[in-house]
Amino acid sequence: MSASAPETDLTAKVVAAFKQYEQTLNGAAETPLHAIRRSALDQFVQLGFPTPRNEEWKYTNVAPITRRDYRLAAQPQATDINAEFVRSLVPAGLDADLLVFVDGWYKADLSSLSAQAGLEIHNLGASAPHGAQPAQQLAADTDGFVALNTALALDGAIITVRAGVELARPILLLYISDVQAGDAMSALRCVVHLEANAKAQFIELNAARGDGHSLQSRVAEMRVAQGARLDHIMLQNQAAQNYQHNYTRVDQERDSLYRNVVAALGGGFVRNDLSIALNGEGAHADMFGLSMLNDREFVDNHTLVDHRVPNCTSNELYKGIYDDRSVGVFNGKIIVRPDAQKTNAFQSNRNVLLSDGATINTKPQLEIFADDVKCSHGATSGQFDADALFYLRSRGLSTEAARTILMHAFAVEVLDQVPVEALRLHLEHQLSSSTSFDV
Amino acid sequence: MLQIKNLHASVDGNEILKGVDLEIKAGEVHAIMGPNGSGKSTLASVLAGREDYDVTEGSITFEGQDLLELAAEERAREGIFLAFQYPVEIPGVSTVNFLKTALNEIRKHRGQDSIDAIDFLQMMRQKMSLVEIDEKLIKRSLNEGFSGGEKKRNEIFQMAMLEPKFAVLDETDSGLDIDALRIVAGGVNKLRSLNNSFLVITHYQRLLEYIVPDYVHVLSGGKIVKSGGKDLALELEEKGYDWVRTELTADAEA
Repeated sequence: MSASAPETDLTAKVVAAFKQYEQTLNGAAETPLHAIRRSALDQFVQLGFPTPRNEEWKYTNVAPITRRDYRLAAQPQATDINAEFVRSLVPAGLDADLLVFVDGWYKADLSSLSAQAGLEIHNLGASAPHGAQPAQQLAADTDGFVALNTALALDGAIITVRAGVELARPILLLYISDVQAGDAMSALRCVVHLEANAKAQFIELNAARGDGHSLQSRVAEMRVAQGARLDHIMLQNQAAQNYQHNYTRVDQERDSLYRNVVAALGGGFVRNDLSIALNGEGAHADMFGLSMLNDREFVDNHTLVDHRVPNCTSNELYKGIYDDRSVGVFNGKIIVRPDAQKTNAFQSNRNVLLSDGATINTKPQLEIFADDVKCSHGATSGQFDADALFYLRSRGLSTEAARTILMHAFAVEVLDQVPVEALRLHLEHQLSSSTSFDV
Repeated sequence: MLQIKNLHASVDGNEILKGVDLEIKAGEVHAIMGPNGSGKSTLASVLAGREDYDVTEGSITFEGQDLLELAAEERAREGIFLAFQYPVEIPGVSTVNFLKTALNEIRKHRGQDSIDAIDFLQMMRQKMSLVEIDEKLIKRSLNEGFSGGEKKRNEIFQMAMLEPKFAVLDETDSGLDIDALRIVAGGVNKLRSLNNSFLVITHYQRLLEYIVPDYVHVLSGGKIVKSGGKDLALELEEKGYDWVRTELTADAEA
C-alpha cells in the first residue's frame, strides 16, 4: 500500500468482502476473470478512494460518503422488496423490458423480460459467457472507484443486441439499494454490445428502499458497432442519504450514434463519468444533462470525448439549476487526436443559481492536436432573466409559479432530447409537481 | 379609475419621471406621446409594478387602492394589464396553458372557481377571432420564434383573455406593418367598453388613427407638458415634438 493512499474503514471493508468472496470460489480462483478482479483489488488498495488532489476530483470530496458503516455483501442477501415496490419505481406508461438489481444482485423474480428477438441478456453472476467479462481497458489505474467496481461487481448485466436488430421496447435497468435495515453499499457492472446496425434504448434508474444510506457503484462498458444507434438515459432522483458513482465507457465504430441523457434531479452525492471514444469515421455522440438540485445535493458530471479518427462529431449540452446550498460540477474534456481532421465538437454548460449559497464549478478542457477542426465550448451561470420573471408576474402569476415556468423553460431543451415519450412526461411531471402549473 | 399624482420615479439613481399627473376615468382611452427618452416606457413599467424603478415621490391610486403597495402579480389580479413593447419568449410553455394558469390566478383572487375546460375553450375561440390569431400559434411555446407582429397580436390576445379593467399598451405599434396594426387596433377597439380604460403609449400618431383616443398627452422630460383631444396627435405629427418644446420655451419666456 502506498503512503499516499488514504485509509478508511471502507477500504478495509472492501478488502474483507473480497476475501470472503474468494473463500466461496472453491478452486474457481484460477479463472482469467478472477485474475482481473484480484489485480483490480490490488489497484484499489493502492489508489484508495480519490481525493481532491487528483485533478479529476478537484471539486468532489468523497470522504463524507466513504465514512459510513455500509453493509457490503459478497453474495446475494435475502430481501423482502416485492413486485409492488418495483412497480412504484417504474415511470408511468413506460413499456420496457425490466431488469432489477437489489444491492447489486440480479433478481430474476422481480424482473420481466419479453424475450425480444435478437436481444441476449445474461447476468454477470450466473452465466458470464466467454469474452463478456469486465474489460481491462478502463481507467482503473487512475480511478479507485473503477478499480473497486472491477474487483467487487460480482453481478451485473451482459447485454447484446444482434446485428440489424431494432429493439421494439427499451430496456430498463433498475438499481435498488435495500437500506431498510441500515446503510448498504453495492457494485455492479454492465457490458453492452450493439452489433452492426442494431438500435436500442437503455434506461437506468437508481433507487433505494428505506431511510439508510446507500452507495451504489456502477460501471458500464458499451460498444456501439458500425451503423448502430444506442440511446442511453440515466434517471437519478434520489434523496440526501443516497450516493452513487457511475462510470460509463463507450466505444463507437464507424457511422454509429450514441446519445446519453442524464437527468439528475436529486441525490446526496452523484458522480457521473462518461468517457466516449470515437473510433470509426462518421460516428456521432450526443451528451445531454439536466441537474436540478436543492438543499445540499451534489451532482458531478464528468465527460471525456476522444476524437481518434477523422470526420466524427460530438455535441454536448449540460444544464443545471441550483438552489439552496446545492453544488454542481461540470468537467468536459474534448480530445482531438492528430489524425482526427474534420472533427466537429461542441460543448455547452449553462447554469442558473437560485440562491447565494449554491455553487457550480465548471471546467471545459479542449486538447486539440489536429488543425482542420471545428470545436467550440461555452459556460454560463446566472440567475433567471428578470424580464421574463416580470413578464409572467405581470399576468398574475406568483413569483413561485413564474420561477417554475422559467425552470421548465430552461430544462425543456434537455428534456426534448429524451427519446422515450413516457420518460419525457415522467420528467416533466417531476419538474412541475411542486406547483399546480400544467405545462 | 386611476389617478397619478406628482409621480417621480428613478432607475439606478437617475430620475426619469419628474412629476407626472394624470387621471383616467372608466371608459376612457388616453394616449401618451413623446419623444424617445421622455419616460413613456418608464411610466408603463411603474404602472405594472416593475421593481427596478424606485418611486421617490407621488402616488398612484387605482379604484381607491394605493397601487404602489401592490406587487406586479397583485396588480394583474386587480385588473391591470401591460401589453409589452418587447414580449419575452418563454420556451416550453404554450400560450394556452400559460393563460389558463394566469386566468385562474385572477379568478382565485376574485373568489371564483377555476374555469371549466369547456368554458375556457369557448372563451379562447371567441377571443382568438378578435385578434385573428391562429390556434397553431397559441399552442406553441409562448412567443418563441414568433415574428414581431405575432408577438404583439399575442399580447392583445392575452389582454382579451384576461379582461383587465385598465390596460397599458406600450408602443404596441412598433415593428408592425399596416395590416398587423389594423388587426391589433381592431382587437383593442372591440374590447373598449364603458367599464374599462386604456393608456396607449406611442411614438407615432399612426396608431391613433385606428385607436381613437379621448385624450392625448405629451410626455417630455419626465413630465406631461401638454394635453388635449385627439387632434393634438395630428398637430404633433405635423409639427413634430420640437414644436411642443419651442412652445414651452416661448411660454416660459413670456
